[in-house]
Amino acid sequence: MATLHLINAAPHSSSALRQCLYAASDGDTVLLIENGVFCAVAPTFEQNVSKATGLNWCALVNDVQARGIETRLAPSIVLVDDHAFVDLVASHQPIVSWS
Amino acid sequence: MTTKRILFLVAHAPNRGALAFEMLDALLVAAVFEQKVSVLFTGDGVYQLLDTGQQTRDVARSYRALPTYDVNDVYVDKAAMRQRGLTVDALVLPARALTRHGIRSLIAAQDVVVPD
Repeated sequence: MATLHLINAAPHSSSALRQCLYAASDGDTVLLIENGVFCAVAPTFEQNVSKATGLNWCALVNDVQARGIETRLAPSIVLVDDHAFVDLVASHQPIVSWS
Repeated sequence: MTTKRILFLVAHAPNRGALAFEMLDALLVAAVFEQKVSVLFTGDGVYQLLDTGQQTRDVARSYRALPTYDVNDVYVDKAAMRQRGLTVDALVLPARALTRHGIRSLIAAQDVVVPD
């Protein structure tokens, strides 16, 4: 099974995104939650993440909407709701949290 | 009891109050219950293995007890060590330095990864 990475911290105030990118393998999924959704804002994502091909990127829709950035996300971000979050957790192993 | 492969992932610098000790406690409990425990120090987490030489309670000194609990799979992130000018002989216990590829393989082989 592929690994699910959770990032819950904003990209410039924490090393979570950088460390996740370093440790993630091709085929893994990264789910952005809480302030981690700011990693998905288009310019940030393109600068830091777009070179890391082979990863699947998701963001929790409630956290995105709560921060008013829904229209600012990079196009490759898949928005997921709580049910899809549970499905991701059930279909990946291990789960790695970065903060 | 089912045995699981549990990786403790230490990614933060020490001196965050009780957090570093709580991670160590969880690790030792897992080891006592005969789980397949390993620990990886990555990013600023590698600083947790430096002996401060101070009299105050020091998480590095507690980590020194890991071999006593039969926790011998201790890994450090080679790149994180190099970026900080550290070598494995400066650490309080024997640790294997892992490349990026090694870290990816280690994580992929786990049932559970516990972050600090």
